[in-house]
Amino acid sequence: MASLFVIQGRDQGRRFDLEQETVSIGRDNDNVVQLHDCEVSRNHAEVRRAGDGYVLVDLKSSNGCFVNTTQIEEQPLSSGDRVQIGRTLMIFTGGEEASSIGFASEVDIVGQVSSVAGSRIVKAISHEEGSQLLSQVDASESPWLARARSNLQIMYRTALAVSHTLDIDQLLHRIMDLIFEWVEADRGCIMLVDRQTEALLPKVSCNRRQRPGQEKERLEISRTILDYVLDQREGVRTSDAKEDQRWDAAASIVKMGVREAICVPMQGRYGIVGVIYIDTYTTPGRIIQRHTDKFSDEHLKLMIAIAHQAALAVEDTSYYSAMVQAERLAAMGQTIATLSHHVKNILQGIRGGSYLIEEGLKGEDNDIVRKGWAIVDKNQEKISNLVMDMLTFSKDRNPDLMPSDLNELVADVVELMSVRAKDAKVALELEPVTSMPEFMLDPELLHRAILNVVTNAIDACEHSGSGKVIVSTSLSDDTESLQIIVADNGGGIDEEDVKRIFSVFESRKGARGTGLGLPVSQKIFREHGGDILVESTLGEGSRFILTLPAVAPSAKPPSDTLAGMKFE
Amino acid sequence: MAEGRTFGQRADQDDWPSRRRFPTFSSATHGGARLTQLSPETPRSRSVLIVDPSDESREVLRTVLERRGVSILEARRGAEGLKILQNQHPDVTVVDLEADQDGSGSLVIAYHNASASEETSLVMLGRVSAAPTSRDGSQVISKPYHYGPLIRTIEQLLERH
Repeated sequence: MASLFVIQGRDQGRRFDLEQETVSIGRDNDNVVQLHDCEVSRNHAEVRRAGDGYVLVDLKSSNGCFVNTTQIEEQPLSSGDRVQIGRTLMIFTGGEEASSIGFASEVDIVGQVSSVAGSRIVKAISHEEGSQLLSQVDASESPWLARARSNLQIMYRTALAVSHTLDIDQLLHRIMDLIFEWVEADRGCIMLVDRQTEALLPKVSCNRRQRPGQEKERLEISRTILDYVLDQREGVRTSDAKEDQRWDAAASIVKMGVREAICVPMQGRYGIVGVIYIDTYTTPGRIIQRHTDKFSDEHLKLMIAIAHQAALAVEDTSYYSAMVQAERLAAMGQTIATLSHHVKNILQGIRGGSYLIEEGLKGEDNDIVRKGWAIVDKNQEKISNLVMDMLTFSKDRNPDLMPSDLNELVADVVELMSVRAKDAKVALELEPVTSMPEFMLDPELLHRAILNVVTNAIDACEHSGSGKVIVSTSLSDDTESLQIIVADNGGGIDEEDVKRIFSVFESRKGARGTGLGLPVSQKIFREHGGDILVESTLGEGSRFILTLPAVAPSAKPPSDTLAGMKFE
Repeated sequence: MAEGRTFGQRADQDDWPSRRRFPTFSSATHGGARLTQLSPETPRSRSVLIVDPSDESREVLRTVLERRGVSILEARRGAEGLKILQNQHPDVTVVDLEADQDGSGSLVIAYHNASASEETSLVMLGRVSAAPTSRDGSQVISKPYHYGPLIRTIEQLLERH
């Protein structure tokens, strides 16, 4: 489905699906796309469906609508377009676009029997050899062809350099390295346009003449040249010998030397993202030897091409970073909202319990005081569990292994849950294996993990009238793994839901569930090198099979994980 | 559920007296719903339907309101509570909006409509973004709420009946 995804502005991270024929955009809350941006008009614009596509229409807004930095009144949208409304920047993503490219269903991979399969390989070229094709210069080749080959090789290497990084600083360093490898520049600098201030900020600089330990030479760049490049969107080649009146006299040139420079815009899809500047200095001695004009128009053209490639890569990287940041903010917002909701429910419980205690004290009714206290106590436990689950989920940790009796550990959980099971009118039974030696386990973590699974099992068959939960332990025949099976006769879990129950904040228990219990349990078991499997039949119940590697106290774990360990 | 109560009569049976008559039974349940009633000689008490998925919240309201002589009907889910509302005609209905299982907001509309036709005052707990504006007498209390003001609100609404 087509959508607008906010990558910049107060609504960063929000995605608006364009479900209706006409989607209104504005500051008022009756807009489908409501933007919390004071530079957005109350009813700013509309996205209208037009055939297979969408059109953005400005509703005579105060600050206008921009598509890819160009102000529009009405503009068809293409996937990837940047829609700027006020200070809010959104990316338009089209739905399924009509394309002349068909599905691959008409392609068959056939065997030798087919008539078309009789082709033979005439020539094979490896990837490495293919990459070198552009750099091979034949001595008999014309200078034009040799130069063209050389340029293509540079562009090929530029494309490679910018194609596989998501770090802008790293990308700019690569570009600078490449330029310095190719051209005889003494100094260079890449500056990017700051999105907020629109000022040029130097990001990378390089000075070939800089010696280690030598005081750093400041690179001064003419603002006039920079302004010209930005305003005219043109690359320039300059030489102070030609432009400055001071150098009119040949004698002066010989005395002072000549500085040449190339400054090119980094022209991206949506505008200029920065400039690349390089310069070189020719000493008086070299001038006498007629070594001037180190930079040619050919250099300028290639610099423009390189800068364009770099700009596209910078835009892609910025776009990706903005998307990641926006997704991260959205996830964080969802996390905070979910956790706040749980805390709010717990707070509600504590308030209820406190109110009952107050009522009981006023009326000198100890039964009501006790009832209130039980509610407060239960909610204290809930908040404690929530905090522990959050802590467990939020960081990776190696289990603190110690010789432990799994039967005893599981019995503790069952005993702890017996009151809850009784309240829920669920029969909770323990069926431990008769002989269980000690194994290396983290009893504290596993207690939490098993408790979560047993709690879920009880909740699953609460109010069913004949709810039953059986918790059993076993040791595999080859003594390589331990199992704890938590079986309930509740309503079972739908096949689709089974795939989601280990996802964080996915709860089937409504307000009672935090959506953290099972993900935390799974994490703990996996940190032990084990896992949790689920078998469930709707209407009949579920079996949670919790497995652990059986590591005897004498065996030492070879690495951070216990996966694959054998019992000796 | 508190012990010492008797359960047996389904709240959706027709033998429950209309809301303006005097109740004659000791208690009733309907699925997760429960009604505590008064003895035949007691004048008719006011009744409150509590629709809330939280056992604790229902327990607190039930305990406090029963001490004030109010009969309590309970439901865990929105649809279940709606049936009780239509069959038992409580004076006041307290609905936690988390009882809306599908989260579509249809619960709000359904309770508004039912409370209007059944002449019950409605108290909604939670956040309502699209409450109908044509009905009066309904109240919305944001969560987390304090029980003192909620109880006072319920008492005020009961006094109107």
